[in-house]
Amino acid sequence: MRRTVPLILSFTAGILMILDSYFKIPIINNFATDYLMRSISVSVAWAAGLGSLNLIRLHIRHISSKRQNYQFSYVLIGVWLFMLTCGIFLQGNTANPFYQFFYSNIQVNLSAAVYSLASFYLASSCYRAFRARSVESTVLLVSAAIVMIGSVPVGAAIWSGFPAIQGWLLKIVNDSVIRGWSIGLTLGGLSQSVRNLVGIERGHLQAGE
Amino acid sequence: MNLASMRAAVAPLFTSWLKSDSNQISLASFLLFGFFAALVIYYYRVATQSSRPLPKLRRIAGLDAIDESIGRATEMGRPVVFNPGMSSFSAPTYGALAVLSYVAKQTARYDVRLIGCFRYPEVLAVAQSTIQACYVEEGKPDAFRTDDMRYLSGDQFGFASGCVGIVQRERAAAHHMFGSLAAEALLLAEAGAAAGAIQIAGQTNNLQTPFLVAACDYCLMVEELYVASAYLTQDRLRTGMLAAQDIIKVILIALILSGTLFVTFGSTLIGDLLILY
Repeated sequence: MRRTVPLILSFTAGILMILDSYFKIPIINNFATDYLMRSISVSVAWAAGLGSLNLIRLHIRHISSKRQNYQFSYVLIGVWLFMLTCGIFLQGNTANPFYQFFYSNIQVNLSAAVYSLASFYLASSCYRAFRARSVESTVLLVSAAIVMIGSVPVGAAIWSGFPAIQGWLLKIVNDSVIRGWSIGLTLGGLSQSVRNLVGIERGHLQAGE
Repeated sequence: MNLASMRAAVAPLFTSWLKSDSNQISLASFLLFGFFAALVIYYYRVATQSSRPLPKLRRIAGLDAIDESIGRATEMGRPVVFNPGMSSFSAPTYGALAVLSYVAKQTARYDVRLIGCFRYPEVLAVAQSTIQACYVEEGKPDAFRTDDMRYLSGDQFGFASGCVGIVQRERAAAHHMFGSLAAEALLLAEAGAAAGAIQIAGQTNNLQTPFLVAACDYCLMVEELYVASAYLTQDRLRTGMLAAQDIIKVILIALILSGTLFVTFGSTLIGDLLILY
């Protein structure tokens, strides 16, 4: 029962969405737009509550059992409650300037700070990857070096051929590989979706077998 | 006959029942999808008859390494961290959940702690019940820890920093990243490398693949993520679907090659046929 009902629901919804994508059948087109798409929003809204519950339950346990660094759980629960209260009760909800002040000046900046770490991580991962240990890694090393040199003005100053080779590597070799990947990914995604639709793929419905 | 007159001749046949999109590829896409559906049905029949042979799957090092990474976690007594990607329910997430069900069975079998990091609560709910069922199937329901299935944040970098923290604090022995990853991919992979974890990535974002190739021990390329469930379970039905997928791929390659040849000799016939309606 726990497998059959989700399978029937997903098969029906999937077939309706496919019919809606290809055919002009007003009753199905309207049903897909008015009901199915909205039902996603409703289920996601319920799931958001579930996520919050999971998060808060976990951190309350951290505090109650005084696990390592449990003090940070107080901060998380406090901030969560504060932003939740502001978002629900202030006039204009999340558009309220008070809410926006905290969002724009704390959340956005913290996200940008975490993202900026990527540039440092890029250097350390390249340091590990760009080593001539095999033929393949040597090709990677040489092509990466050419692309890096060809991308900066000093590369053209050293030799005018660097930007041309860099352009060839990016536009011909890289683009064609990326397009091949895209076709493979689309087909793979289609195959995965069909397997889900007809119930062959059940990894997400309990134990898979 | 030019493209405009061909389109004018074809349009009345389909305009009353087939939707048209701005790129005018509805007919080609519909025919390709119809052919794919027919292949799926054909290979379903083939797969259900055990006497009929199916194509063999080649070795995929990244998927073979899953067992190796769990074995390493067993020896070291450290956890496996699984990240099913940054998107809600989509094809890559389903691919990741298929791998997760295999990983959960293995971790249950070898008594290894499995920590899941989730960005979307709906994925968390499904993954949690999947993992729990795997533990029950392996006869170890008590080993499943709800606290280890963690919703971190809906924000991209909030999630990334939470995941980085878990990988490093828990000193993960194996870090599995499957599904759809975006700009946070490198942050996650470098955190795993710093923690000394075996890292296996399988994701579908072309832009992130180079970073993961550089930073991870094993990286599944392109659609290998979607092959994972068939490969790990050696299930005939799933393998049959892959055969159908490969036939479509051969057809597309033939179309690309013939289109290139036609254009080389001054004809746009193949391209025009694809954008008729």
